[in-house]
Amino acid sequence: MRSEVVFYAFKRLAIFPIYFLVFSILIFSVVMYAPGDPVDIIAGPTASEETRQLISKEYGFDRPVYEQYISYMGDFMRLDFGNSLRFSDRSVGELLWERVQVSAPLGLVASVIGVFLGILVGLFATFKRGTWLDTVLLSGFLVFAAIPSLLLIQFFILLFSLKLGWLPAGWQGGWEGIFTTSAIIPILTLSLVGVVGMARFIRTITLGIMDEQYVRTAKAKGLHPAKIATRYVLRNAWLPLMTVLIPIFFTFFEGSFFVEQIYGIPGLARFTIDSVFGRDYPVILAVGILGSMLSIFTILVVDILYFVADPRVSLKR
Amino acid sequence: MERVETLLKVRGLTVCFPQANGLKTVVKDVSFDLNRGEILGLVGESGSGKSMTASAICRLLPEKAQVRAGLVDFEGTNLLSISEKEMRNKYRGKRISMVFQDAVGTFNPVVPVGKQIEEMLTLHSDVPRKNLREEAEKLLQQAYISDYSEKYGSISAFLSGGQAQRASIAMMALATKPDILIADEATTALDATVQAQVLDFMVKTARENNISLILITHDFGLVARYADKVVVLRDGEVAEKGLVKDVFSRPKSAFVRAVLRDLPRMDKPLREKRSPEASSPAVLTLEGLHVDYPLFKRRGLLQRRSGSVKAVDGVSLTLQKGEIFGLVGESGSGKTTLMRAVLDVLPPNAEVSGNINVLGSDIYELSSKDNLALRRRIGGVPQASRQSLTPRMRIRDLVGEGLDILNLYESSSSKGKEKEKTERVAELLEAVGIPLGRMWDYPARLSGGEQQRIAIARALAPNPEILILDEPTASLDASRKNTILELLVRLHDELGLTYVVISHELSTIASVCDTVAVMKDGQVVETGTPEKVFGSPEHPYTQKLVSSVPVPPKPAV
Repeated sequence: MRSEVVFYAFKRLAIFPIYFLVFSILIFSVVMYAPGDPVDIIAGPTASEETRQLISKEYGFDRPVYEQYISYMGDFMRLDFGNSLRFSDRSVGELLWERVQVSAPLGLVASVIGVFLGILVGLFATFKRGTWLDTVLLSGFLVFAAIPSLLLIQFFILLFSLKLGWLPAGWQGGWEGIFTTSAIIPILTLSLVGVVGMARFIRTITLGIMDEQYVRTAKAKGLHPAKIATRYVLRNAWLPLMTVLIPIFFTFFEGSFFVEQIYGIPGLARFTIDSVFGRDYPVILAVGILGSMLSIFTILVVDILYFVADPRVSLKR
Repeated sequence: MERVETLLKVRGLTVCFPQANGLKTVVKDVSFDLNRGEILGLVGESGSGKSMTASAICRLLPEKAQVRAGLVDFEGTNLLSISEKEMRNKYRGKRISMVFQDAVGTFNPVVPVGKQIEEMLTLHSDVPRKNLREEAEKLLQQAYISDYSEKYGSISAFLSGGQAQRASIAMMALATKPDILIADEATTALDATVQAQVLDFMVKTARENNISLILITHDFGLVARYADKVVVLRDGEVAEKGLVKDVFSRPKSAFVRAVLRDLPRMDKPLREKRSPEASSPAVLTLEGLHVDYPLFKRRGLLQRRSGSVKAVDGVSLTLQKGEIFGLVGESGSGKTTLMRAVLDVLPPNAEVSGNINVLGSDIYELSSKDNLALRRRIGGVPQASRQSLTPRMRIRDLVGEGLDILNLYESSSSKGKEKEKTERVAELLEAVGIPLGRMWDYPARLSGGEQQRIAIARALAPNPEILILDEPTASLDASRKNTILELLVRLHDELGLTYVVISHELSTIASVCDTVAVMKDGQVVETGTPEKVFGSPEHPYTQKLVSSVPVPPKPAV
């Protein structure tokens, strides 16, 4: 069993370099061939042709794209992502790290709350299926999924900050803002958006499990419904849940693009948007490649976890 | 004479399901008694309400079902009127237990089997915590699971169907020794010899522990062999009840008489058999056919071929034109692989050697074009007809699909083709006895028997000469088995077909086949007329197979 797992993990992770190559080339080309010359940004609109050529040579823009790619990836491997164009004295790595310290805790707390609430609502709906509670719960949370997060957060600001005056209307401080009351509104918005998807997913899966023979058998054993819910239903729902958890975390991250912008949070999402508009291509490249690597890596890890957790997967192969 | 103690009294039990147009009664005024230590057969065809009756006793009915009337008196307590909590704590599992058809699925698929047995012990016995494992392993051992220590820690997917059902009996009955065990079609999905093993174990468990057993089944033969008393249900109502020996030898109701008359029987052929001396040209010849599946073993990071599974291991057969040839054997004996080899639909990793000669040509030497031309002359009806009918295609398109694939049309315009297709499908539906009005229906709206007919019509569409039928009656009720077999015999005679009938049911084979071959572990162990092979079997395996089949009771006329 153990060597099976190691073998499978090795096999899955062996694919990772191939993904890395393909995605980095793809992202690099997209950024490089996108309209807009980075020289314009560095040199400014009034620079002479001479200065522009000097800059182009200095930064290596005059070399063929594949050469640029190779030298960029060489630096990338040493975790040197170059310097930002907008903040010319600062390295991209440093800038990103500052933002990640704000966004990551926020995203993590919001998604943990969202997923937990989603599981709870979904399970509840399953056990109360067909009743009015089932309908009310699911359609109620559907409202939050239907309203875009950019409207939802404005509604919360309007209600809790401006009308009731309970909470601040914007982010306070840098990474330590997560410990202030100003974290409540963004966390509430981000988690609510994800709840309904999660709840519906859980409900669909657990409804299917409720029809399984082993749940009937558990009832015939005389087991208490709460034990059936945890030992039988949740225990089996956990497997399919694992495969969607990571994609769900990334949805939370997407939601934060609007939330950070509107609530004035100095986080990664907002920084990325600003960098796109400012054509700060070293930042865009780093965010793009690191982001895609992170998501591929986590999906591979989930596959491996699934293999470990489900004894049947090894049978099927 | 022992003192008779009535344990369970069911009186006037009526169960309904709400439907769009009012209530549908699935169990109607059912009454019977169950004595301590007795074996009661609750028998009927699908939809007769037998499972609903059992579920109602345990109060495990589907949520939508309503008990409209009746009484389930268990030692003076009406189980239908106590609270759910009392039912759960005092009765379910502890006094009244159940085992189900899907034995592997009865265990939580991700939890070791032994742990689930321990759960039952924790719930209803006072086995101390530290002895749980020992006790669970002992139960598995008593269930004839030889590697009980290993199986204690494995999940149900690693158990065979028979092992899983015995383990489930150990868990649901042996562990807590309830007063009543209800077995809901508990052996239906199992092979004949395994079914006999499981039933023997279940009956032994019941007898030794003075447990009353309710056997729910559609198999009258099984009831006749194992039960003391029988309740025959039909459309939710009791058609007849009494001692097995009385009901089956002198049935009072017309229904039971008709069922017993219609059961496919080993000793009641449905057609005039060919004389064994008659000879006609050979249409299908297998010579030394081997089908192997490669097995791999991993060493470090490399996979190495370590051997093969011999699915078919050197089979030689000859079928003559017009013959009905039967192939019996249990799951894993290679029957289906053999059929797939002949139809050239083996999985890509199969390794075939030997010769298959269909209608004069060796199928593995044909060009793909000639092979396609041969395809229309040999057809197959797959085992699970329900799954083989694409749910999103209408009956007309399902039946006529072969015409499209092989382009068997005279006209070249698409309009002309459509017209030909409709005409041909109408012809086929008439031949298999499906009303023409169903041509535009989807398969989900058909009953199991009708779906089987559609699958047969589909195979007949290109006008084949040979038809291979894989378990044509397996999923059908007793009375429908006979109608399908009669249909097959009629089509055989009218169209001059040659059949290969694959079945694990000896009665099906015996009633229609001229010749039968018994397969075990990929080899044919015995061949001959059914009368000879089943009447005086020579091979020990055939003897075991014949003796484990419950013989349907034969009413005195």
